[in-house]
Amino acid sequence: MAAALILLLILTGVAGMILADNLIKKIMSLSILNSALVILFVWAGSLAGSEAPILLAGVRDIVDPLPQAVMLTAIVIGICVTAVALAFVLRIHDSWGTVSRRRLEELRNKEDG
Amino acid sequence: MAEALALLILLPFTASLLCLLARFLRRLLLAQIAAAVSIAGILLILALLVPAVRGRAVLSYAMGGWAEPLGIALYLDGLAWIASVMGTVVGLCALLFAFGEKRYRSDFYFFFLMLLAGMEGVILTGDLFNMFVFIEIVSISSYLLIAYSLDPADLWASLRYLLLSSLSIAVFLMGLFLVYRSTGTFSIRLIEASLSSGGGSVPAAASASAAGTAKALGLAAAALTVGVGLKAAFVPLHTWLPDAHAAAPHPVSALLSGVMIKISFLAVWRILSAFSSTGIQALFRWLGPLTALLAVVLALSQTDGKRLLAFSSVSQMGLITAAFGAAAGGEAAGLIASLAHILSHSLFKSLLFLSVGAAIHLTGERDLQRSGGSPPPFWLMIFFLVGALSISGLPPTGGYVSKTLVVSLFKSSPLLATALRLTAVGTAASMIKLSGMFRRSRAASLPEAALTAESGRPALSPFCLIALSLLALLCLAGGVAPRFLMQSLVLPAVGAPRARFPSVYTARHLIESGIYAALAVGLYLLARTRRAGKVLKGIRELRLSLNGALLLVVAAVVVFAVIGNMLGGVPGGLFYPSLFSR
Repeated sequence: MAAALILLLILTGVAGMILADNLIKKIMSLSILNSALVILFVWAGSLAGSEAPILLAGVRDIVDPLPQAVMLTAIVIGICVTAVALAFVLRIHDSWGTVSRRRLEELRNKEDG
Repeated sequence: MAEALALLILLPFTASLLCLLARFLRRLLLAQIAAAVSIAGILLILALLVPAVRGRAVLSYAMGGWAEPLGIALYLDGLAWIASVMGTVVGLCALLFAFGEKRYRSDFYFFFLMLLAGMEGVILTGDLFNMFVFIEIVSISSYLLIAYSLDPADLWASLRYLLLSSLSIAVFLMGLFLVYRSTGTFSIRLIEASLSSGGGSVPAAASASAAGTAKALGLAAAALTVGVGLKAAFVPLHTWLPDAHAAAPHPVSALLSGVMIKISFLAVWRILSAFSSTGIQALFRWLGPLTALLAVVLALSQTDGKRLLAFSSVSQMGLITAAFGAAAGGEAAGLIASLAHILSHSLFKSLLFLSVGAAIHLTGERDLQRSGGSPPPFWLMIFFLVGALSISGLPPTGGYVSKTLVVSLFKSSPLLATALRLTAVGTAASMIKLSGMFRRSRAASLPEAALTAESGRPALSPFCLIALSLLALLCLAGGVAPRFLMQSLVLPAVGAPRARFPSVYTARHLIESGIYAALAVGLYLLARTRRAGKVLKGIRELRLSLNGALLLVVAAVVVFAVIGNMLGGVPGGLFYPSLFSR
């Protein structure tokens, strides 16, 4: 069940990135994709046990701590990329007045041709 | 001595923080000194490491004292050493050129050094997740450097690259997930060791799970290859490169085209050799010549000088990947040719980008069709000529040596060899076209405008000249002393110190390159005719939409996973699925 939901989230992200015309929606889809991957790693790590990996006396049957640890880094990187992308879109909107992918490509081709 | 490995990454990182400080203190000189000192420091450390590398030792350093598989280890072998030297030398030249251009603020040097630190990290790390982190450091700094001018067209080029690269990195993460699920580690060395020790001695009970592991790892290898491969820009993952590399400031174009795409390719190299995924490697044998030929046609059709060079970078990546693919059978000759072309391309492509950049800086015009501006001084043409001879594979340059090595790999396959020969002719023709940047005729009308332009003419600073001369000398050195350089640099790096190095200065090869040059002149004259001009204009206006490019990334994953693993899968091995009880 969890696996199916995660797969659905991943597919939503990829489809949104490819199909959306609005650049903000593309970036939000990227965000969904990144979050889905984070959930995937943490979910898979959680299958190993049931307790939080805080190694005090008596704690055993812990979940795999490594996926959680690496996903912290992935979350930070994801936020950085999203921030840069949104800043770029803002600048593009300021000068060309649109966030539509199709419109931007038309403008760009007109400028070249 | 092993601590020096951490310094290779920490030095540019620390210096980049100083640049940020310089940004707030408004002291540009502080940033420039920090950048120059850190690059000089890296070169010094690499020089001190020569005896260790020559002794064919693999240096390793466990970060923070945590050994693998819990911690992250850095490794330096011959390949990492030479890649590091390549990145730093080109980085130094690009930095000097940036000093000379005098257009950049402290934050430029901050991102520049982050880019260098990230590339050192990708080369040195022995951990796949850590590789992801460093790739993203490289990516984010390159997005910002490409859009440094804040021109909306440049921002759009950078944003396209950002979206494509982020999608491919998501694919990389999926690959990492499969790797961790089936092996319980991210360590490249541990995966390699388990895969090479597995195989025949697997007990019967475990052999079923070993087969499952092999399948998952085959899929993972494809995902990782596409994930990093987007930055190595082979077809069909090249769509972002021409816009991005043409939009970047000149020194950044040199660094991105000269080094960054090759560092990404070396990451693919490391991953595929760790996974012993000969199938995906063999796929490059076909993909390489296809990339080379397709991109050179596009290069020839361009009228923007820097876009032409960017397409030609894609085309040269085709030669590099083709040679790598030819080594799938295990022969060292393919790896030798691939690495030799990586090194010579890094030198001549950065030389070309910087000399064209200098011409644009002086004339203020980057389009080949528009005439105007005052012509650049004739001596600038000399630097361009060295780079152009080298990329066209003409003696006496490093490009002649490495291109001859690559083409001679394909003796048994006339089709692929023809594709590579046509690429050589096309490359030379596109360079003749590009030389128009340096042959501008003075605008005949408006003498007053020319006069005022004369007085306020931007000059080329000595820093730019030093950068150009250094790169040109290195290009020529590769052609003058090929045997010495190959034996001391390339052969040890691919682990074949005693491999036979064929002589490239034979009458046959020399006559062959003479014929290419003659054909190239013919092709150039043909491309100038009106009818060919119309065709080239049509090709130039074929633009793939962003959505199509994103779809191609997904398609590439499927192609690599299906065809790559059909040609040859990953061998199964025995792993410990998790360090922790499961």
